[in-house]
Amino acid sequence: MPAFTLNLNAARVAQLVIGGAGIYGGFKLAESLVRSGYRDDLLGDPTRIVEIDGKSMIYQTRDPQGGKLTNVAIGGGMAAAFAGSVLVLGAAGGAGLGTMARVGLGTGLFALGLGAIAGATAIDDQWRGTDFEPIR
Amino acid sequence: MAGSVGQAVTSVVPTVTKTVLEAATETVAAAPAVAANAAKLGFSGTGWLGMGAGAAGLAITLLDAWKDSVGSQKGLTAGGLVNPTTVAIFGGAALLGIGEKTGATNMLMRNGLRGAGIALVLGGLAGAVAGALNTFGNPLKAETDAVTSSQSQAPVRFGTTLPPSPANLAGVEVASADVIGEGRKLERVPVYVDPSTAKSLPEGASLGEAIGAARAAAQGDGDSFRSHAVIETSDGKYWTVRLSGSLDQVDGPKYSDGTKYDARYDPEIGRRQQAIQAIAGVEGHFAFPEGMEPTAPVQYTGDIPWVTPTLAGAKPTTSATTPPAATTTPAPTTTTPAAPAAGS
Repeated sequence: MPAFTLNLNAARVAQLVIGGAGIYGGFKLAESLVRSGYRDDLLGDPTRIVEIDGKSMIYQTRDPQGGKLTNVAIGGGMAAAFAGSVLVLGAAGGAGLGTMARVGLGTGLFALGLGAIAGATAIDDQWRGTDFEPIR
Repeated sequence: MAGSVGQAVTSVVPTVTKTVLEAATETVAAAPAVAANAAKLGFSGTGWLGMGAGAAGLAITLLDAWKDSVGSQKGLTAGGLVNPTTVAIFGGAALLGIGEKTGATNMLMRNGLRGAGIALVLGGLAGAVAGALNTFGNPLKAETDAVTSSQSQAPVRFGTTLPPSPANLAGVEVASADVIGEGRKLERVPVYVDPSTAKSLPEGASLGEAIGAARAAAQGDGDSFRSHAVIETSDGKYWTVRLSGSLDQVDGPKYSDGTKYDARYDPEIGRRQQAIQAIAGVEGHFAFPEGMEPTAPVQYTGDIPWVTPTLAGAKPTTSATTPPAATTTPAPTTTTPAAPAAGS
């Protein structure tokens, strides 16, 4: 097994900055998405009216959104990480702006996806199961 | 000055660009070599990292579930073993395994699967750690709470503790009503209490007696359309207290007089604080479905937030959750709506 070495140069620093920003951005994005979904589940309008006929109204029961948004964020993060990995590790060799752009974009996408998955699962774990108690 | 800066920039830019390009090339060139080298051992370094993180995440999740299961009859399932965290970890491990070992002969596909897998596993690990922190206690909670807004804090479960006194409920939303508002839109109306009006009942008073006292307070209130509630404190005593906020707009004649709420539909009331035991509505919508006797049980008024409201107009037959308004509604001709009270 080769010895592990880390050459910290400008590109590595750029990758780290892009990666950090991507993780932070993805985390915050997924976090706010999932949190808003769960908050609406608990505090938002419970149902919506789909039909009004004279004195009667037809309601559609609102489906909980928090869990669904969690799955969406995880799926989106997975897709972004997939694309990022393809870009970084599949980039053709050679020195050029194109290669640098692909590596940078791939790093950002991978980090964005990783952050999104982490944000979604972390916030979901905090909110899942919270509920209000009805009058009995 | 400007010339010297420009000269410096022109001298630095090619150097940085060259370094960046070399490093990018190095990154790209190193990847296949590392993968090929690690492939001899079976999994690459990425693979081992992912599998290790996944194992750690699962261990944390199991520990979390075990802690949740203590005292629960559901056993380990009380903590919910199948959740986004475990799904992400298992899904990531599967993708990582496919990318590392089998299934993908295309290099791009292999890299994509490995990247997606490692992201899922690490994300799942983050979720597991977040869940465990919730269960076992976060040593940085005080510091975290100090720098985060209420928007970014997780909710606590609806309070199960009783307050030491009604004064502790000042400004606290004790209940909420789902009402039909303008544009036939379903709205949630917050309900508060006015602690300054709290009156304690004698020691040993029953809930039925407290409800009767609240009902009497509602009937004797100077404002004809004020509702009163029964509050229980941590010492087991019952209190009657006047409601404030918007509930009066959905209760009684004022509900249909000069307010934006539709009088034809009864509001659904959901309790938000353990302390509130009953609401004595002016027209008996909420707490006295069977009448006004003091021993009337508290009515189940519906789940929030996802239950379909019981609408008198939509359901002509009386269900178990439909208040028998005909037996509890006072004669409207004897009531003159008063001006809206302050705070309504």
